[in-house]
Amino acid sequence: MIKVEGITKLYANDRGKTKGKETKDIRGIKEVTFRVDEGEVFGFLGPNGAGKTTMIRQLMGFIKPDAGFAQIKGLDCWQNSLAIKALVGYLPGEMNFLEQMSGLEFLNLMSGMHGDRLIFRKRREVLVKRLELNLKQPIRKMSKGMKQKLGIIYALMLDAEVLILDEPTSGLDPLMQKVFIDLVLEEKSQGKTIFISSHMFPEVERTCDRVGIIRDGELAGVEGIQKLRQAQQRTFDIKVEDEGQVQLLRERGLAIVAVNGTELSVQVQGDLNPLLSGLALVNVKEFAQKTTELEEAFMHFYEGEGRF
Amino acid sequence: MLKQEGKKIIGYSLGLALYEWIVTWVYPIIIQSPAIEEIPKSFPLAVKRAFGVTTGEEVDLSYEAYISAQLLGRIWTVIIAFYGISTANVLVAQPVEQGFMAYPLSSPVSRVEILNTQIGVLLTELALVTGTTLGGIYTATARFEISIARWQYFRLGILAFSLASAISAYSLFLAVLCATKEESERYASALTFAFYGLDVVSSLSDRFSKLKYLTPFGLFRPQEVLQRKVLPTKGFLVLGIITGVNLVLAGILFSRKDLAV
Repeated sequence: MIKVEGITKLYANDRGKTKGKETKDIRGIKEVTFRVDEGEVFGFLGPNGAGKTTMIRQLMGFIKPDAGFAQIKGLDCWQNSLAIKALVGYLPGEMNFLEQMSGLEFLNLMSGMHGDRLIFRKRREVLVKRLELNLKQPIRKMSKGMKQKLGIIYALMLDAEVLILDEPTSGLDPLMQKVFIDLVLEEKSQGKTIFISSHMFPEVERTCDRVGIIRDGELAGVEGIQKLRQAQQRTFDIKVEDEGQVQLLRERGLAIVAVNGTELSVQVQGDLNPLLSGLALVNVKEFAQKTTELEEAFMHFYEGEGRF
Repeated sequence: MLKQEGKKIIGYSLGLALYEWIVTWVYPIIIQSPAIEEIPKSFPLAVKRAFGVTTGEEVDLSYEAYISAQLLGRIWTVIIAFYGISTANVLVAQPVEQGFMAYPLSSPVSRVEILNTQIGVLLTELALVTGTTLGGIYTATARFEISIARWQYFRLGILAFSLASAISAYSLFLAVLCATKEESERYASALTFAFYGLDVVSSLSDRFSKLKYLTPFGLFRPQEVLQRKVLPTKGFLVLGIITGVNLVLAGILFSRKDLAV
Protein backbone atom coordinates (compact mmCIF):
# COMPACT_ATOMS: atom_id res chain seq x y z
CA MET A 1 0.00 0.00 0.00
CA ILE A 2 2.82 2.42 0.91
CA LYS A 3 6.13 2.11 -0.90
CA VAL A 4 9.14 4.28 -0.21
CA GLU A 5 12.23 3.75 -2.35
CA GLY A 6 15.56 5.47 -1.73
CA ILE A 7 13.94 8.72 -0.75
CA THR A 8 16.28 11.59 0.10
CA LYS A 9 15.46 15.09 1.22
CA LEU A 10 18.14 17.33 2.62
CA TYR A 11 17.17 20.76 3.81
CA ALA A 12 18.58 23.59 1.72
CA ASN A 13 20.19 25.35 4.68
CA ASP A 14 22.28 22.34 5.44
CA ARG A 15 23.31 21.31 1.96
CA GLY A 16 26.52 23.30 2.09
CA LYS A 17 27.47 21.93 5.42
CA THR A 18 26.79 18.33 4.51
CA LYS A 19 29.46 18.16 1.81
CA GLY A 20 32.36 17.66 4.17
CA LYS A 21 30.75 15.74 7.02
CA GLU A 22 27.60 14.15 5.76
CA THR A 23 26.42 12.15 8.72
CA LYS A 24 26.84 14.79 11.40
CA ASP A 25 25.22 17.82 9.78
CA ILE A 26 22.45 16.10 7.89
CA ARG A 27 18.93 17.39 8.33
CA GLY A 28 16.11 15.60 6.64
CA ILE A 29 16.20 12.02 5.40
CA LYS A 30 18.64 10.05 3.31
CA GLU A 31 17.99 7.04 1.09
CA VAL A 32 15.07 5.74 3.12
CA THR A 33 13.45 2.57 1.77
CA PHE A 34 10.56 0.59 3.25
CA ARG A 35 7.07 -0.61 2.43
CA VAL A 36 3.85 -0.94 4.36
CA ASP A 37 1.44 -3.66 3.28
CA GLU A 38 -2.31 -3.22 3.03
CA GLY A 39 -4.00 -3.61 6.42
CA GLU A 40 -0.72 -3.27 8.28
CA VAL A 41 0.09 -0.87 11.10
CA PHE A 42 3.62 0.43 10.67
CA GLY A 43 5.44 2.32 13.39
CA PHE A 44 8.05 4.87 12.38
CA LEU A 45 10.18 5.51 15.37
CA GLY A 46 13.02 7.77 16.19
CA PRO A 47 14.15 10.48 18.55
CA ASN A 48 13.12 14.09 18.00
CA GLY A 49 14.79 15.57 14.92
CA ALA A 50 15.56 12.17 13.38
CA GLY A 51 13.50 12.84 10.24
CA LYS A 52 10.09 11.33 11.07
CA THR A 53 8.09 14.42 10.15
CA THR A 54 10.15 14.95 6.98
CA MET A 55 9.19 11.42 5.92
CA ILE A 56 5.53 12.18 6.59
CA ARG A 57 5.73 15.40 4.55
CA GLN A 58 7.02 13.29 1.66
CA LEU A 59 4.11 10.88 2.00
CA MET A 60 1.64 13.78 2.09
CA GLY A 61 3.20 15.45 -0.97
CA PHE A 62 4.05 18.61 0.96
CA ILE A 63 7.69 18.49 -0.14
CA LYS A 64 9.41 17.17 -3.23
CA PRO A 65 12.09 14.51 -2.77
CA ASP A 66 15.66 15.26 -3.88
CA ALA A 67 15.96 11.62 -4.97
CA GLY A 68 13.86 8.46 -4.78
CA PHE A 69 10.11 8.30 -4.51
CA ALA A 70 7.20 7.56 -2.20
CA GLN A 71 4.01 5.92 -3.43
CA ILE A 72 0.65 5.20 -1.89
CA LYS A 73 -1.49 2.66 -3.71
CA GLY A 74 0.84 2.94 -6.70
CA LEU A 75 0.47 6.73 -6.94
CA ASP A 76 3.48 9.00 -6.61
CA CYS A 77 3.05 11.13 -3.50
CA TRP A 78 4.44 14.30 -5.12
CA GLN A 79 3.12 14.02 -8.67
CA ASN A 80 -0.31 12.62 -7.73
CA SER A 81 -0.68 14.37 -4.41
CA LEU A 82 -4.35 15.27 -4.96
CA ALA A 83 -5.33 11.66 -5.62
CA ILE A 84 -3.27 10.57 -2.60
CA LYS A 85 -5.07 12.99 -0.32
CA ALA A 86 -8.43 11.53 -1.26
CA LEU A 87 -7.15 8.23 0.21
CA VAL A 88 -5.47 9.52 3.34
CA GLY A 89 -6.54 10.64 6.80
CA TYR A 90 -3.77 12.79 8.23
CA LEU A 91 -2.89 13.93 11.72
CA PRO A 92 -0.11 16.56 11.79
CA GLY A 93 2.53 16.51 14.49
CA GLU A 94 1.81 20.06 15.58
CA MET A 95 -1.73 21.07 16.45
CA ASN A 96 -2.09 24.51 14.92
CA PHE A 97 -5.61 25.63 14.22
CA LEU A 98 -7.28 28.94 13.49
CA GLU A 99 -7.82 29.89 17.09
CA GLN A 100 -11.01 31.90 16.54
CA MET A 101 -12.84 28.86 15.19
CA SER A 102 -14.75 26.36 17.29
CA GLY A 103 -13.93 22.67 16.97
CA LEU A 104 -17.18 22.13 15.09
CA GLU A 105 -16.45 24.92 12.61
CA PHE A 106 -13.03 23.44 11.94
CA LEU A 107 -14.40 19.96 11.33
CA ASN A 108 -17.16 21.34 9.09
CA LEU A 109 -14.57 23.26 7.08
CA MET A 110 -12.38 20.20 6.63
CA SER A 111 -15.37 17.98 5.95
CA GLY A 112 -16.36 20.35 3.13
CA MET A 113 -12.86 20.25 1.68
CA HIS A 114 -13.03 16.45 1.62
CA GLY A 115 -16.39 16.34 -0.17
CA ASP A 116 -18.78 16.44 2.82
CA ARG A 117 -19.95 12.82 2.87
CA LEU A 118 -22.63 11.66 5.30
CA ILE A 119 -20.29 9.13 6.86
CA PHE A 120 -17.99 11.92 8.05
CA ARG A 121 -20.71 13.25 10.32
CA LYS A 122 -21.62 9.80 11.65
CA ARG A 123 -18.04 8.92 12.42
CA ARG A 124 -17.43 12.36 13.90
CA GLU A 125 -20.27 11.93 16.37
CA VAL A 126 -18.97 8.54 17.49
CA LEU A 127 -15.42 9.83 17.85
CA VAL A 128 -16.53 12.91 19.80
CA LYS A 129 -18.25 10.64 22.33
CA ARG A 130 -15.30 8.28 22.60
CA LEU A 131 -12.77 11.08 23.03
CA GLU A 132 -15.07 13.23 25.18
CA LEU A 133 -14.52 16.53 23.38
CA ASN A 134 -16.81 19.55 23.41
CA LEU A 135 -16.80 20.70 19.78
CA LYS A 136 -18.63 23.94 20.51
CA GLN A 137 -15.71 25.24 22.52
CA PRO A 138 -13.52 27.84 20.75
CA ILE A 139 -10.17 26.34 19.82
CA ARG A 140 -8.29 29.16 21.58
CA LYS A 141 -9.74 27.90 24.86
CA MET A 142 -8.73 24.29 24.25
CA SER A 143 -5.81 22.66 26.05
CA LYS A 144 -3.05 20.87 24.12
CA GLY A 145 -4.71 17.52 24.77
CA MET A 146 -8.09 18.79 23.56
CA LYS A 147 -6.51 20.09 20.36
CA GLN A 148 -4.87 16.71 19.89
CA LYS A 149 -8.28 15.04 20.22
CA LEU A 150 -9.69 17.43 17.61
CA GLY A 151 -6.88 16.48 15.24
CA ILE A 152 -7.52 12.78 15.85
CA ILE A 153 -11.25 13.23 15.17
CA TYR A 154 -10.42 14.99 11.89
CA ALA A 155 -8.04 12.23 10.77
CA LEU A 156 -10.32 9.36 11.70
CA MET A 157 -13.71 10.81 10.69
CA LEU A 158 -12.74 10.67 7.00
CA ASP A 159 -12.93 6.85 6.96
CA ALA A 160 -9.79 6.91 4.80
CA GLU A 161 -8.08 3.77 3.51
CA VAL A 162 -4.73 4.99 4.77
CA LEU A 163 -4.02 6.80 8.01
CA ILE A 164 -0.86 8.82 8.49
CA LEU A 165 -0.50 9.89 12.09
CA ASP A 166 2.37 12.02 13.37
CA GLU A 167 2.97 11.64 17.11
CA PRO A 168 -0.71 10.84 17.68
CA THR A 169 -0.79 10.54 21.48
CA SER A 170 1.24 13.65 22.18
CA GLY A 171 -0.55 15.65 24.87
CA LEU A 172 -3.15 12.97 25.64
CA ASP A 173 -3.61 11.75 29.21
CA PRO A 174 -3.08 8.00 29.86
CA LEU A 175 -6.82 7.28 29.71
CA MET A 176 -7.17 8.94 26.33
CA GLN A 177 -3.99 7.26 25.11
CA LYS A 178 -5.73 3.95 25.78
CA VAL A 179 -8.86 5.13 23.94
CA PHE A 180 -6.67 6.14 21.01
CA ILE A 181 -4.93 2.76 20.94
CA ASP A 182 -8.35 1.05 20.93
CA LEU A 183 -9.42 3.28 18.03
CA VAL A 184 -6.29 2.39 16.05
CA LEU A 185 -6.87 -1.31 16.69
CA GLU A 186 -10.48 -0.95 15.49
CA GLU A 187 -9.32 0.79 12.32
CA LYS A 188 -6.78 -1.95 11.83
CA SER A 189 -9.48 -4.60 12.18
CA GLN A 190 -11.34 -2.85 9.34
CA GLY A 191 -8.34 -3.36 7.08
CA LYS A 192 -7.00 0.19 7.17
CA THR A 193 -3.32 0.75 6.50
CA ILE A 194 -1.82 2.87 9.25
CA PHE A 195 1.49 4.69 9.44
CA ILE A 196 2.32 6.01 12.91
CA SER A 197 5.33 8.14 13.67
CA SER A 198 6.32 8.23 17.29
CA HIS A 199 9.12 8.49 19.79
CA MET A 200 7.10 6.62 22.41
CA PHE A 201 7.64 2.86 22.44
CA PRO A 202 4.49 1.75 24.35
CA GLU A 203 1.94 3.13 21.86
CA VAL A 204 3.83 1.57 18.98
CA GLU A 205 4.33 -1.72 20.80
CA ARG A 206 0.60 -2.09 21.36
CA THR A 207 -0.59 -1.18 17.89
CA CYS A 208 2.06 -1.86 15.26
CA ASP A 209 2.86 -4.99 13.28
CA ARG A 210 6.25 -3.76 12.16
CA VAL A 211 8.50 -0.95 13.18
CA GLY A 212 11.09 1.10 11.33
CA ILE A 213 13.56 3.16 13.28
CA ILE A 214 15.11 6.32 11.90
CA ARG A 215 18.26 7.88 13.31
CA ASP A 216 20.00 10.97 11.91
CA GLY A 217 17.81 10.81 8.82
CA GLU A 218 18.71 7.23 7.94
CA LEU A 219 16.56 4.15 8.41
CA ALA A 220 18.39 1.91 10.85
CA GLY A 221 16.16 -1.06 10.17
CA VAL A 222 12.65 -2.46 9.93
CA GLU A 223 11.60 -5.31 12.20
CA GLY A 224 8.48 -7.16 13.28
CA ILE A 225 7.20 -6.03 16.65
CA GLN A 226 7.34 -9.57 18.04
CA LYS A 227 11.02 -9.83 17.29
CA LEU A 228 11.70 -6.51 18.90
CA ARG A 229 9.69 -7.43 21.94
CA GLN A 230 11.74 -10.60 22.31
CA ALA A 231 14.96 -8.71 21.92
CA GLN A 232 13.94 -5.87 24.17
CA GLN A 233 16.29 -5.57 27.11
CA ARG A 234 14.58 -4.72 30.36
CA THR A 235 16.20 -3.61 33.59
CA PHE A 236 14.71 -4.38 37.00
CA ASP A 237 15.66 -2.70 40.27
CA ILE A 238 15.28 -5.21 43.11
CA LYS A 239 15.86 -5.01 46.84
CA VAL A 240 16.31 -8.27 48.76
CA GLU A 241 16.60 -9.04 52.48
CA ASP A 242 20.36 -9.60 52.81
CA GLU A 243 23.58 -9.81 50.84
CA GLY A 244 23.50 -13.61 50.92
CA GLN A 245 20.39 -13.47 48.76
CA VAL A 246 22.22 -11.19 46.32
CA GLN A 247 24.91 -13.83 46.04
CA LEU A 248 22.23 -16.51 45.55
CA LEU A 249 20.78 -14.57 42.60
CA ARG A 250 24.26 -14.06 41.18
CA GLU A 251 24.80 -17.82 41.27
CA ARG A 252 21.58 -18.33 39.27
CA GLY A 253 23.37 -16.73 36.32
CA LEU A 254 21.27 -13.55 36.18
CA ALA A 255 22.83 -10.53 34.52
CA ILE A 256 23.34 -8.32 37.56
CA VAL A 257 24.66 -5.00 36.35
CA ALA A 258 24.85 -3.07 39.63
CA VAL A 259 24.85 -3.96 43.32
CA ASN A 260 24.58 -1.57 46.23
CA GLY A 261 24.31 -3.57 49.48
CA THR A 262 20.99 -5.39 49.23
CA GLU A 263 19.86 -3.43 46.15
CA LEU A 264 20.65 -4.72 42.70
CA SER A 265 19.83 -4.07 39.05
CA VAL A 266 19.19 -7.02 36.80
CA GLN A 267 19.04 -6.94 33.01
CA VAL A 268 16.78 -9.38 31.21
CA GLN A 269 16.61 -9.93 27.48
CA GLY A 270 13.53 -11.74 26.19
CA ASP A 271 12.38 -14.52 28.55
CA LEU A 272 11.51 -13.38 32.10
CA ASN A 273 11.26 -16.87 33.62
CA PRO A 274 14.90 -17.21 34.82
CA LEU A 275 14.50 -13.98 36.80
CA LEU A 276 11.14 -15.00 38.26
CA SER A 277 12.35 -18.44 39.31
CA GLY A 278 15.40 -16.82 40.92
CA LEU A 279 13.26 -14.32 42.83
CA ALA A 280 11.08 -17.17 44.10
CA LEU A 281 14.09 -18.32 46.17
CA VAL A 282 14.64 -15.00 47.96
CA ASN A 283 12.67 -12.51 50.02
CA VAL A 284 11.94 -9.57 47.71
CA LYS A 285 11.52 -6.22 49.50
CA GLU A 286 11.17 -3.96 46.48
CA PHE A 287 10.72 -4.61 42.77
CA ALA A 288 10.52 -2.06 39.96
CA GLN A 289 11.02 -2.14 36.23
CA LYS A 290 12.94 0.70 34.67
CA THR A 291 11.25 2.19 31.64
CA THR A 292 13.28 1.27 28.62
CA GLU A 293 13.80 4.27 26.41
CA LEU A 294 13.04 3.67 22.80
CA GLU A 295 16.49 4.64 21.64
CA GLU A 296 18.02 2.31 24.21
CA ALA A 297 15.77 -0.59 23.20
CA PHE A 298 16.69 -0.31 19.55
CA MET A 299 20.34 0.30 20.22
CA HIS A 300 20.45 -2.96 22.15
CA PHE A 301 18.61 -4.74 19.38
CA TYR A 302 20.96 -3.64 16.65
CA GLU A 303 24.07 -3.91 18.78
CA GLY A 304 23.12 -7.57 19.19
CA GLU A 305 22.89 -7.97 15.46
CA GLY A 306 26.18 -6.18 14.90
CA ARG A 307 24.60 -3.46 12.78
CA PHE A 308 25.95 -0.49 14.71
CA MET B 1 -11.09 33.00 6.59
CA LEU B 2 -13.09 36.15 5.91
CA LYS B 3 -14.88 35.60 9.19
CA GLN B 4 -11.52 35.37 10.98
CA GLU B 5 -10.56 38.72 9.51
CA GLY B 6 -13.91 40.32 10.36
CA LYS B 7 -12.79 42.35 13.39
CA LYS B 8 -9.84 43.81 11.51
CA ILE B 9 -12.01 44.80 8.53
CA ILE B 10 -14.56 46.46 10.82
CA GLY B 11 -11.80 48.25 12.75
CA TYR B 12 -10.16 49.74 9.67
CA SER B 13 -13.48 50.56 8.00
CA LEU B 14 -14.98 52.29 11.01
CA GLY B 15 -11.76 54.15 11.71
CA LEU B 16 -11.57 55.48 8.16
CA ALA B 17 -15.26 56.38 8.03
CA LEU B 18 -15.03 58.18 11.38
CA TYR B 19 -12.00 60.14 10.19
CA GLU B 20 -13.83 61.10 7.00
CA TRP B 21 -16.85 62.28 8.96
CA ILE B 22 -14.67 64.45 11.20
CA VAL B 23 -12.71 66.09 8.36
CA THR B 24 -15.89 66.56 6.32
CA TRP B 25 -17.67 68.06 9.33
CA VAL B 26 -14.96 70.74 9.75
CA TYR B 27 -14.66 71.42 5.98
CA PRO B 28 -17.54 73.99 5.79
CA ILE B 29 -16.16 75.77 8.84
CA ILE B 30 -12.62 75.90 7.45
CA ILE B 31 -13.53 77.28 4.03
CA GLN B 32 -15.51 80.09 5.66
CA SER B 33 -12.45 81.21 7.57
CA PRO B 34 -10.85 84.33 6.00
CA ALA B 35 -7.36 83.02 6.81
CA ILE B 36 -7.81 79.79 4.90
CA GLU B 37 -6.46 81.16 1.65
CA GLU B 38 -3.31 82.38 3.36
CA ILE B 39 -2.37 79.13 5.11
CA PRO B 40 -1.47 77.08 2.01
CA LYS B 41 0.53 80.00 0.63
CA SER B 42 2.79 79.84 3.67
CA PHE B 43 3.80 76.24 2.87
CA PRO B 44 6.81 75.54 0.66
CA LEU B 45 5.85 74.50 -2.85
CA ALA B 46 7.40 71.06 -2.44
CA VAL B 47 5.33 70.31 0.65
CA LYS B 48 2.15 71.38 -1.12
CA ARG B 49 2.99 69.17 -4.07
CA ALA B 50 3.80 66.22 -1.82
CA PHE B 51 0.46 66.44 -0.04
CA GLY B 52 -1.50 67.01 -3.21
CA VAL B 53 -2.37 70.62 -2.43
CA THR B 54 -2.97 72.75 -5.53
CA THR B 55 0.11 74.70 -6.42
CA GLY B 56 -1.36 77.39 -8.65
CA GLU B 57 -1.85 81.06 -7.81
CA GLU B 58 -5.44 80.52 -6.71
CA VAL B 59 -5.99 78.44 -3.58
CA ASP B 60 -8.26 75.53 -4.38
CA LEU B 61 -10.96 75.37 -1.73
CA SER B 62 -12.92 72.56 -3.36
CA TYR B 63 -13.88 69.51 -1.33
CA GLU B 64 -11.92 67.38 -3.83
CA ALA B 65 -8.70 69.25 -3.08
CA TYR B 66 -9.47 69.19 0.64
CA ILE B 67 -10.20 65.45 0.96
CA SER B 68 -7.22 64.62 -1.27
CA ALA B 69 -4.89 66.57 1.01
CA GLN B 70 -6.50 65.39 4.24
CA LEU B 71 -6.88 61.70 3.42
CA LEU B 72 -6.70 60.25 -0.06
CA GLY B 73 -3.41 61.74 -1.27
CA ARG B 74 -1.14 60.36 1.46
CA ILE B 75 -2.75 58.96 4.61
CA TRP B 76 -5.08 56.54 2.86
CA THR B 77 -2.34 55.12 0.62
CA VAL B 78 -0.12 54.43 3.64
CA ILE B 79 -3.01 52.80 5.54
CA ILE B 80 -4.09 50.59 2.64
CA ALA B 81 -0.47 49.63 1.86
CA PHE B 82 0.04 48.55 5.46
CA TYR B 83 -3.29 46.71 5.39
CA GLY B 84 -2.40 44.88 2.17
CA ILE B 85 1.06 43.80 3.35
CA SER B 86 -0.26 42.63 6.70
CA THR B 87 -3.27 40.77 5.28
CA ALA B 88 -1.33 39.04 2.50
CA ASN B 89 1.05 37.68 5.11
CA VAL B 90 -1.67 36.69 7.57
CA LEU B 91 -3.49 34.80 4.81
CA VAL B 92 -0.53 32.99 3.27
CA ALA B 93 2.78 33.17 5.15
CA GLN B 94 1.34 32.77 8.65
CA PRO B 95 -0.73 29.59 8.07
CA VAL B 96 2.30 27.96 6.42
CA GLU B 97 4.74 29.05 9.11
CA GLN B 98 2.46 28.19 12.02
CA GLY B 99 1.34 24.92 10.48
CA PHE B 100 -2.40 25.44 10.02
CA MET B 101 -1.93 25.10 6.25
CA ALA B 102 -1.25 21.38 6.85
CA TYR B 103 -5.01 20.82 7.15
CA PRO B 104 -6.15 22.37 3.84
CA LEU B 105 -3.12 20.82 2.15
CA SER B 106 -4.09 17.38 3.46
CA SER B 107 -7.44 17.62 1.64
CA PRO B 108 -8.00 16.74 -2.02
CA VAL B 109 -8.13 20.43 -2.94
CA SER B 110 -5.30 21.68 -5.15
CA ARG B 111 -2.76 24.17 -3.90
CA VAL B 112 -3.85 26.65 -6.57
CA GLU B 113 -7.45 26.43 -5.34
CA ILE B 114 -6.29 26.97 -1.76
CA LEU B 115 -4.25 30.01 -2.79
CA ASN B 116 -7.10 31.34 -4.93
CA THR B 117 -9.38 31.15 -1.90
CA GLN B 118 -6.91 33.23 0.10
CA ILE B 119 -6.57 35.68 -2.80
CA GLY B 120 -10.36 35.93 -2.93
CA VAL B 121 -10.43 36.76 0.78
CA LEU B 122 -7.68 39.35 0.34
CA LEU B 123 -9.39 41.10 -2.58
CA THR B 124 -12.76 41.02 -0.80
CA GLU B 125 -11.19 42.68 2.22
CA LEU B 126 -9.60 45.38 0.06
CA ALA B 127 -12.92 45.97 -1.71
CA LEU B 128 -14.69 46.26 1.65
CA VAL B 129 -12.18 48.74 3.10
CA THR B 130 -12.12 50.78 -0.13
CA GLY B 131 -15.89 50.64 -0.33
CA THR B 132 -16.23 51.85 3.23
CA THR B 133 -13.83 54.70 2.48
CA LEU B 134 -16.10 55.74 -0.38
CA GLY B 135 -19.18 55.14 1.72
CA GLY B 136 -17.75 57.38 4.45
CA ILE B 137 -17.25 60.20 1.95
CA TYR B 138 -20.73 59.72 0.42
CA THR B 139 -22.54 59.68 3.75
CA ALA B 140 -20.49 62.48 5.33
CA THR B 141 -20.89 64.82 2.32
CA ALA B 142 -24.63 64.05 2.23
CA ARG B 143 -24.96 64.74 5.94
CA PHE B 144 -23.07 68.06 5.79
CA GLU B 145 -24.67 69.06 2.46
CA ILE B 146 -21.52 69.21 0.39
CA SER B 147 -22.07 68.62 -3.29
CA ILE B 148 -19.70 66.12 -4.94
CA ALA B 149 -19.48 64.28 -8.29
CA ARG B 150 -20.32 60.85 -6.92
CA TRP B 151 -19.59 58.95 -10.10
CA GLN B 152 -16.08 60.37 -10.25
CA TYR B 153 -15.49 59.33 -6.65
CA PHE B 154 -16.63 55.85 -7.61
CA ARG B 155 -14.04 55.83 -10.41
CA LEU B 156 -11.42 56.92 -7.92
CA GLY B 157 -12.58 54.09 -5.66
CA ILE B 158 -11.86 51.58 -8.42
CA LEU B 159 -8.42 53.10 -8.94
CA ALA B 160 -7.79 52.96 -5.18
CA PHE B 161 -8.84 49.31 -5.13
CA SER B 162 -6.45 48.67 -8.04
CA LEU B 163 -3.58 50.29 -6.15
CA ALA B 164 -4.37 48.31 -2.99
CA SER B 165 -4.56 45.11 -5.05
CA ALA B 166 -1.19 45.76 -6.69
CA ILE B 167 0.56 46.33 -3.35
CA SER B 168 -1.16 43.30 -1.83
CA ALA B 169 -0.33 41.16 -4.87
CA TYR B 170 3.43 41.67 -4.66
CA SER B 171 3.20 41.24 -0.88
CA LEU B 172 1.41 37.94 -1.42
CA PHE B 173 4.03 36.85 -3.95
CA LEU B 174 6.74 37.62 -1.39
CA ALA B 175 4.72 35.77 1.28
CA VAL B 176 4.82 32.66 -0.93
CA LEU B 177 8.47 33.15 -1.90
CA CYS B 178 10.01 33.77 1.52
CA ALA B 179 10.61 31.17 4.18
CA THR B 180 9.07 33.08 7.08
CA LYS B 181 6.36 35.67 7.67
CA GLU B 182 8.90 37.99 9.28
CA GLU B 183 11.13 37.84 6.22
CA SER B 184 8.32 38.42 3.71
CA GLU B 185 6.86 41.30 5.73
CA ARG B 186 10.30 42.88 5.89
CA TYR B 187 10.83 42.69 2.11
CA ALA B 188 7.28 43.80 1.28
CA SER B 189 7.53 46.75 3.69
CA ALA B 190 10.95 47.78 2.34
CA LEU B 191 9.72 47.60 -1.24
CA THR B 192 6.57 49.57 -0.41
CA PHE B 193 8.52 52.27 1.44
CA ALA B 194 10.85 52.54 -1.56
CA PHE B 195 7.86 52.90 -3.90
CA TYR B 196 6.25 55.40 -1.57
CA GLY B 197 9.49 57.37 -1.27
CA LEU B 198 9.81 57.52 -5.06
CA ASP B 199 6.27 58.87 -5.25
CA VAL B 200 6.94 61.56 -2.65
CA VAL B 201 10.19 62.61 -4.36
CA SER B 202 8.50 62.65 -7.78
CA SER B 203 5.90 65.09 -6.35
CA LEU B 204 8.47 67.51 -4.92
CA SER B 205 9.78 68.95 -8.12
CA ASP B 206 9.36 68.74 -11.87
CA ARG B 207 12.98 67.58 -12.06
CA PHE B 208 12.03 64.33 -10.34
CA SER B 209 8.56 63.94 -11.80
CA LYS B 210 9.61 61.07 -14.08
CA LEU B 211 10.22 58.93 -11.00
CA LYS B 212 6.46 58.50 -10.68
CA TYR B 213 6.66 56.00 -13.56
CA LEU B 214 8.75 53.68 -11.33
CA THR B 215 6.18 53.34 -8.58
CA PRO B 216 2.58 52.11 -8.46
CA PHE B 217 1.77 55.03 -6.16
CA GLY B 218 2.53 57.32 -9.11
CA LEU B 219 -0.64 56.11 -10.78
CA PHE B 220 -2.80 57.24 -7.89
CA ARG B 221 -3.36 61.00 -8.04
CA PRO B 222 -6.76 61.46 -6.36
CA GLN B 223 -7.16 65.18 -6.86
CA GLU B 224 -6.39 64.91 -10.58
CA VAL B 225 -8.89 62.07 -11.00
CA LEU B 226 -11.60 63.86 -9.01
CA GLN B 227 -11.22 67.22 -10.74
CA ARG B 228 -10.50 66.16 -14.30
CA LYS B 229 -13.56 63.95 -14.26
CA VAL B 230 -11.96 61.40 -16.57
CA LEU B 231 -11.65 57.66 -16.33
CA PRO B 232 -8.12 56.79 -15.17
CA THR B 233 -7.83 53.95 -17.70
CA LYS B 234 -4.05 53.83 -17.75
CA GLY B 235 -3.96 53.50 -13.95
CA PHE B 236 -6.49 50.63 -13.94
CA LEU B 237 -4.59 48.86 -16.68
CA VAL B 238 -1.05 49.11 -15.28
CA LEU B 239 -2.09 48.35 -11.70
CA GLY B 240 -4.21 45.46 -12.99
CA ILE B 241 -1.20 44.05 -14.85
CA ILE B 242 1.02 44.36 -11.74
CA THR B 243 -1.66 42.57 -9.72
CA GLY B 244 -2.25 39.85 -12.31
CA VAL B 245 1.43 39.08 -12.93
CA ASN B 246 2.22 38.85 -9.21
CA LEU B 247 -0.77 36.64 -8.44
CA VAL B 248 -0.04 34.29 -11.34
CA LEU B 249 3.61 34.02 -10.26
CA ALA B 250 2.51 33.41 -6.67
CA GLY B 251 0.18 30.63 -7.89
CA ILE B 252 2.92 28.94 -9.93
CA LEU B 253 5.37 29.15 -7.04
CA PHE B 254 2.88 27.97 -4.43
CA SER B 255 1.93 24.91 -6.47
CA ARG B 256 5.58 23.82 -6.80
CA LYS B 257 7.11 24.92 -3.55
CA ASP B 258 8.15 22.67 -0.67
CA LEU B 259 5.75 23.46 2.14
CA ALA B 260 7.21 22.24 5.40
CA VAL B 261 3.96 22.29 7.37
